[in-house]
Amino acid sequence: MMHASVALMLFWALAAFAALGVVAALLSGRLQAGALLTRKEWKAALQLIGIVALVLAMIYYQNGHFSDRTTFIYGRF
Amino acid sequence: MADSETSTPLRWSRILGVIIAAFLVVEASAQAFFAVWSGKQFNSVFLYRWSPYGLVRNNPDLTGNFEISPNGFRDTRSYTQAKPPNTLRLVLLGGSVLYSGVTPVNALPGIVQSDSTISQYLAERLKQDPAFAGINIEVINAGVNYNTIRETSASYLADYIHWDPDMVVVFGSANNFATAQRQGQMQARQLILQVPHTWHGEFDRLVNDRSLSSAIEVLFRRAADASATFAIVHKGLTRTLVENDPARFLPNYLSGAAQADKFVLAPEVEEEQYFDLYSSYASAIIGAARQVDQDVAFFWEYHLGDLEGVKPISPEEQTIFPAVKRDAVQIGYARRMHDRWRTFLAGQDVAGVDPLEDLKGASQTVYTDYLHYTAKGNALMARSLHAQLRERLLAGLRRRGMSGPARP
Repeated sequence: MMHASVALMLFWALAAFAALGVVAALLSGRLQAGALLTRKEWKAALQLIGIVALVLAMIYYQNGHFSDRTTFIYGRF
Repeated sequence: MADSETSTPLRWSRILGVIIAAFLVVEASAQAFFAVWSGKQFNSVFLYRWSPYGLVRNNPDLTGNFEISPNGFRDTRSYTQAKPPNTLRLVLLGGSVLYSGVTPVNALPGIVQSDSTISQYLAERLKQDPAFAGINIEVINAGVNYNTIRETSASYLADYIHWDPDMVVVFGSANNFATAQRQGQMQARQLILQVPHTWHGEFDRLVNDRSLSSAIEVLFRRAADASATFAIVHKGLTRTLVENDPARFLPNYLSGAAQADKFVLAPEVEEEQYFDLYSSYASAIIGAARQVDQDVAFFWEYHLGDLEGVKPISPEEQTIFPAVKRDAVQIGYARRMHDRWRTFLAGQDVAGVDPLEDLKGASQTVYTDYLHYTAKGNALMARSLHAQLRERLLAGLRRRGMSGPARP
């Protein structure tokens, strides 16, 4: 039986390979960003990511400084 | 074209598909980054995990630029809880000095690896000592950053006592007696052993809190344990929004920080009361250890800033010394607490390892910041521990009738 960590590494190797293929296709012009999504859809995708990032940032900042249950950082790498 | 775009409904399934595909691209890169940076597969960027016995433990799944052992120890090897036969086992308990932590400011560059903390050097010394020939040596570094005697005693009484150590060495003195007491702090219950642990708030927020923001944060932390991309986002948010508060540049923030109360040193009676509180925890460790035939020793941690004219300050240490130098009030407090610690341990017939004599002759760079040691500093502390505990360890082996050691 394949070890779980080996399977996971294989998965990420395949994902990386596919990702490189997509990036290469975009760079070479064989694949157009417009063929994937319209301009409006790209904007909606970025807005969605932005909203999630903003909510997360607000929660981290609130919990890091203004909560009575604040994050305390000790030890870093 | 613009008109047809505005009239066409958004294809959300396609949008989500592209986001997921983009995420996979980023995730593959993030996984590759961790594999190159830490030399192992991504697991987790969280340094700690919650523990019922002493609040936190080191996270054995840490993917960092140093290793945490599968047992959660600051070590590269793992141990079994059941002690192997013919083994001399020491468990070292304490805070960041033992862990070999580094404070982010006024510190020399570099990180101490998990094969170069005090415990590995002490194990090596004991293995090379002919008096311990034939004995399997284990020195376990169970240090956790920020531990005081409160967390140390809890973790020993509930957990490490069951690891059957021949000797427990308790570090962390600097955390218990970090700065001079102010008048009234003891009665106001403001001292470090009286206030909730610094991570208590975080524990409550992430474990007990049922709010939406807590749930979202917990969910994201779970995601950061499963995804290298989210782990990097978590680290980025923590670095920029928690460790480095952007609001520190605001004028009100700066003027607020500048306000400080006038310092009035606590009278001797209040210092005595606080030491009694410390010694109540220490006594709990000593009492329990005696009941199960385990020996106990304590280790005193000196601040670099207290050692001017005592230890030769190396050129590297000189670069941080002006920032960490302490005044006469702080040095006097540390000395008085050290004397109380000595007297208390002598009264209990417990060894107190004091590295001062070794520090006096140490011209090398022992400190990496105000308190923590370099790898060479750890080797020096191991020398003090070996020299000052050797006879007790040998006596313990003889008492247990263990084979191997001969009288030196």
